[in-house]
Amino acid sequence: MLTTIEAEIDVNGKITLLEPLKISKKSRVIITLLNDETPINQAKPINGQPKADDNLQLEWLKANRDQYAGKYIALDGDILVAQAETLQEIRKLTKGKNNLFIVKVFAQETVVSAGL
Amino acid sequence: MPYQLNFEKLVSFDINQDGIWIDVEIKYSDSNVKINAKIDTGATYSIFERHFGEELGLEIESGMRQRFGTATGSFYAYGFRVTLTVAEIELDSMVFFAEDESFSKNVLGRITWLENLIFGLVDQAGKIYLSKYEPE
Repeated sequence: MLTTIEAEIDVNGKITLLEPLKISKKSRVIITLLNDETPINQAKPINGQPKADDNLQLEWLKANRDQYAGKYIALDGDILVAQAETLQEIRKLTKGKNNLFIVKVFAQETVVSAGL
Repeated sequence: MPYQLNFEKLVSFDINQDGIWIDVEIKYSDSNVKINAKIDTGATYSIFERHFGEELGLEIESGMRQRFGTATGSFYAYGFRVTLTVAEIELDSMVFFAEDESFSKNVLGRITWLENLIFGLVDQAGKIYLSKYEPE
């Protein structure tokens, strides 16, 4: 069975998947470069809600945030798109990409300020 | 050298209250709740009473568990991605709901809320000027 997903390839050949992909074994892929000018992510339906399942994103955060503790991360569904030390930096890295969720995360047991 | 900022929204608050309290709406899926919350620049995230999360249909313990500290101790709360609206400015936010049912504070904090705003305060006049911060 063939599976098609959207991805982004940068000028250095680094490929970032823009949709969730679950595979059970090492698999062959064919990369097709699109030559249209459709901005990445803007082709997806956006109804004010993320395309990917909220629960998948939350599960990703719960499972992985310790690894990115103290950093800003950008998620497209449950796909990590970028990470950075500051909000300004991650906004530069993700400029032009829509529908991302950007948040700073901490390890679960890190005591963060509640103010109060 | 003078500096000038332009704002989209003006919000008034009661100067006689202990702190700066404003109305906020939280939306999750098809549900929403309206809360009067205290702006707290010392709060890392926005944190709300547990029952507000339950009113949104959230199973609180399924959220992202985080430990929070105060001057007197610490507590746990659970984070969820919601839409946070203040003065018609909608932000895609991570907010937390306290684990403990007796927790009775509601605060608007920095991450995914204040950090995404241009915020002007005239304290003695009870006025807050707000705009969504759009980086160049």
